[in-house]
Amino acid sequence: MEKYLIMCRSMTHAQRSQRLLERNGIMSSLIKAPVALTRSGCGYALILRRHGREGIRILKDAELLLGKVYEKVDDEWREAAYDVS
Amino acid sequence: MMYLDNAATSFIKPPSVYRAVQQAMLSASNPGRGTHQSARKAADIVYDCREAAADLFHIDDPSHVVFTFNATHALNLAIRTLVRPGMRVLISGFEHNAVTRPLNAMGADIRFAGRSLFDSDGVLSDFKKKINDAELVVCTHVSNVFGFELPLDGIASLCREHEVPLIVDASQSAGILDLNMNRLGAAFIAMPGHKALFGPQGTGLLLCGRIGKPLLFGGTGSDSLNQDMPESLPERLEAGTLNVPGIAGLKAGMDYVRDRGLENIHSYEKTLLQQLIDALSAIPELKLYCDSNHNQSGILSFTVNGVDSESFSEALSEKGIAVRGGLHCAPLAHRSAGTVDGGTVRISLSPFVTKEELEKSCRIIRAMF
Repeated sequence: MEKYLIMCRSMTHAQRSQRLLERNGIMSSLIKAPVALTRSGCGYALILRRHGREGIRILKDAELLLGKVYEKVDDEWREAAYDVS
Repeated sequence: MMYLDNAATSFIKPPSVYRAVQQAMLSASNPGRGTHQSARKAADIVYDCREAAADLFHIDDPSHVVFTFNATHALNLAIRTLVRPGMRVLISGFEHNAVTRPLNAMGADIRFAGRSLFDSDGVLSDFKKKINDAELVVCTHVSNVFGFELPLDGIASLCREHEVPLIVDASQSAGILDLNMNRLGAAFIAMPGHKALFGPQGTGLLLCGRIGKPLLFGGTGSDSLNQDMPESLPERLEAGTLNVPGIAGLKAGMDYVRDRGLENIHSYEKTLLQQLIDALSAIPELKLYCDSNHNQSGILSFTVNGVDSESFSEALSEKGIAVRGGLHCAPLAHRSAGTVDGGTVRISLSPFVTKEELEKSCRIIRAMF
């Protein structure tokens, strides 16, 4: 199953992104970003377990895709081809 | 007690505000400091309030709603962001010390426009004359002393036309008059949460049309390795733990305002104001400051022949009527109106003041002469 992790620059940014996705019928989980993926410490991220590509497109169109996007491959987070940072 | 000091703070709040504060204290911890249940609850409370404010004040991005301790804090943030020493700042003649003191502290070259009370056309015309030479305009929407509704739309339009940034002090209008951030195009709008938005004391909002300069530095729950404050709003201006119970109450207060409707609130306060003017104008010892053109919100100032404003307010307090006397932290407004020597007695209304208690208050005042 596809699984994406979208890095957010703050809790507020993550909440704004999550609510936009919700309004478009896409559910996500808001988590503290894994330490290995944060460059400046204490980040937040959204995990999309379904409709990941559509969710990424929605965030990009709303100019809310401000960090890296990772995809779960072989139980590891790998940077996906949606990097707009 | 008959509480008629709502321009200082609204003491009587909608019951939903008290409930929201209590529920937040029982369920929410610290927003942006984790994703466990109580931290997430706190973050949701805070973001819900940002969205409610963005909706009420017509801002596209809720991230541009910044929580402050009060309107003074918000004004200090805005002024510190835009003012540099020697900058020519044009202000109305009805500004509060929350505007004039920070401008003075920043070494601004303060200039005045619009000092005639209740003369909207005159105020606008004076701003028109002087704006060419201004680098910044700071203007209150409603005078906290006299309830004078300044011609904000016209002043904002002038600022846009001349590309002069505008800071609005909406302390007495937020929750009563329409404030449209998109339409006004202001750089910043500052407001308290604890007056006509019915939040608890210790709450305020800064609506940001641009990125502000921090006054406080500290933890934001994100970007922690960076020793500068984050570049993005709202975190850039919100160091430290937020007042989550206060923000929960503020959200409930804004919901009340939205449900009752700004026009209904304004219209009800105008009705009360007219009732007050009709009753008190029959007392020859009082001089009322009121506007025949109706550019006045629910605030009435008056002076009393032979009695200073503080003593008269004290006497009213002893009779169970809460008002405020003196200069109301706005000596500039009193200078403009010619009342700086003794100040005024100020009655300020709210949607929770009833016609009956106002009538009773007026009877008590009449009986004092």
